[in-house]
Amino acid sequence: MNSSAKLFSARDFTCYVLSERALTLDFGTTIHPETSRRITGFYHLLNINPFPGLLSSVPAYTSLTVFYDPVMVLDSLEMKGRTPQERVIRYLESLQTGTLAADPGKATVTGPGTVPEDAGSTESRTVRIPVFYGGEYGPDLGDVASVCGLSPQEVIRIHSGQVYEVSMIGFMPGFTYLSGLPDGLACPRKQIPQQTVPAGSVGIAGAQTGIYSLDTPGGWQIIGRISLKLFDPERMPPVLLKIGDRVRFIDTKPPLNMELPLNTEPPVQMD
Amino acid sequence: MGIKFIKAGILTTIQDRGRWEHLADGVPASGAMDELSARIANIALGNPQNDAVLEFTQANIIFETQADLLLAFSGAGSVRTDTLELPMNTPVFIPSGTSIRILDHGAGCRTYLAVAGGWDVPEVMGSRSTCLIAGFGGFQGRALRTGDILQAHTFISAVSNHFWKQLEGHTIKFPNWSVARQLFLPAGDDFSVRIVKGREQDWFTAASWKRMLNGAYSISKIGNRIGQVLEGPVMERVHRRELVSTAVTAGTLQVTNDGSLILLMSDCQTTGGYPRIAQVAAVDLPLCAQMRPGETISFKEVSAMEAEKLYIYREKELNKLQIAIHEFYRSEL
Repeated sequence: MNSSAKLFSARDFTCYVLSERALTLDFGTTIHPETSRRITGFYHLLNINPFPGLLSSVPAYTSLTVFYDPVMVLDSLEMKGRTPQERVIRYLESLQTGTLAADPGKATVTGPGTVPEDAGSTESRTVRIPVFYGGEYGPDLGDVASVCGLSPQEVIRIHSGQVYEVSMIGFMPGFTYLSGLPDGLACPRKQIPQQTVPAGSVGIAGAQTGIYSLDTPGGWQIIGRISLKLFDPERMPPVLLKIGDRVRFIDTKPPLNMELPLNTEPPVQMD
Repeated sequence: MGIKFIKAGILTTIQDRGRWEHLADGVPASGAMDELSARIANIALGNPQNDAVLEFTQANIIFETQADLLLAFSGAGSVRTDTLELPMNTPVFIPSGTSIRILDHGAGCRTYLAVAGGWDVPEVMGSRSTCLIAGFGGFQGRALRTGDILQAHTFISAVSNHFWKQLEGHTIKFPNWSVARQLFLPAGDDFSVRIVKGREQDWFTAASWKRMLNGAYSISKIGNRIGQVLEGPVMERVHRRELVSTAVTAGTLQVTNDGSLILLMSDCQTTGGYPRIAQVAAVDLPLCAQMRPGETISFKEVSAMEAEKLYIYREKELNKLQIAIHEFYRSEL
């Protein structure tokens, strides 16, 4: 985690109202690894410095949306401002500029937007995930190869030769959006969505790559499948990958004539 | 301590005020579609407002009580036994072995049933709401089916206990008061749902926006807990820019690529990539939740500040109601 102060300059984001219970911090309009890092940084900063009434916050490619209970915000003695919206905006701004009033009971901001070093959740990890590319697990590998003017083996080599970063989890529980797809692998969605895309499918849609977490209809080009369960409501935390995690896919040969087992224990390795 | 479903209906689920802690994991908020009615049913019983309730969709339900129960109904529809119509928005004592019918009477879409102590389903990720898309939460992660038995918690609040003692016996009994649910809702057939301009409102032509505010939309048959499809004037784009996926929430009015409107509801996905033309004021979402296919909806613009003011007012009124019921119980001691 880069805790350089300039990541949170006063002009880092603009803020708009999504609903009575949510404000969105807008970090720009283009997908960029640097933008993702700033969003992830602010997400962790907010999580270790929550305000009264904070329900959760949702990081996306270029935004962070903060959900809260307006009544709790209004009842709070520490938050300043007239309306709940005003109070939350002031709080987020003070968090960004590092002027948050010190609260002895809580982790405090030590400088402009720095993340304290003991914040374990901000550790970024590299997760190595075995992928069974092609065949029944990646039915669209051939199509992707021909669209990109590559051989299927080259697609596998390029796709597994890259380090990706989790930029968003959305669409459905655990669905993981990764940034960092090499330009040469960009490929449009399918014309007609597939009825069922199995959980664990690794897909490409435009310039994005991602992993399906549940069996669902979907239009991404499926090039492979992982045997890890990305989402499990019985597990804590329920999702395997977190925002900011780095992901490396490992080309693996599938077991022959076998139903893919869904492992629950991740082969997570820390870098 | 429960009820057995003889006829479970088309979509009967357990809901509370939603699962808000795991939005960042892509887990939808879920929660009661008409949160107002769900909360009123709980308040009327002396329950915490977030207790698990049953949500029935266009109810055609029969269930049987398997124990003496203190229940409260709210929302649309009507409730009866073989011989008696039961009041809504008030505690009703129902002895064991009673068969209850909930009927759709053509107005409104969703009925809510709370039980003193709340329905006994496990809390998953901070909520008892059913997450239909991933199959967890609520009653075994799914809609209730005929033959299912749903249990109530045995621990009930002091207020519920007081109502229980007042009403218990061998027959159905209810007090001579009920919560005036309609007072919380804006009245009149010509009422327009209040909306706030969305972040991408200026991606659409001024003429489109005008058409949307002056026109009427009809609720399509294909709506569900994820969203309502609205049929009516289509929106024209000023440019064909693509939105980078970002958070959406219940009440978000998004515009699909063919210009039609989708109103996101409780089970909506956490992020979306369609431009958001408007956001329905949270206080008017219960009205949207009660709309039936074919009914018309029209819109009126308010500011974000006004919507927030309405929200705070509604919350204060509901809390006053809860306090009034607690005071009422104390005054009877």
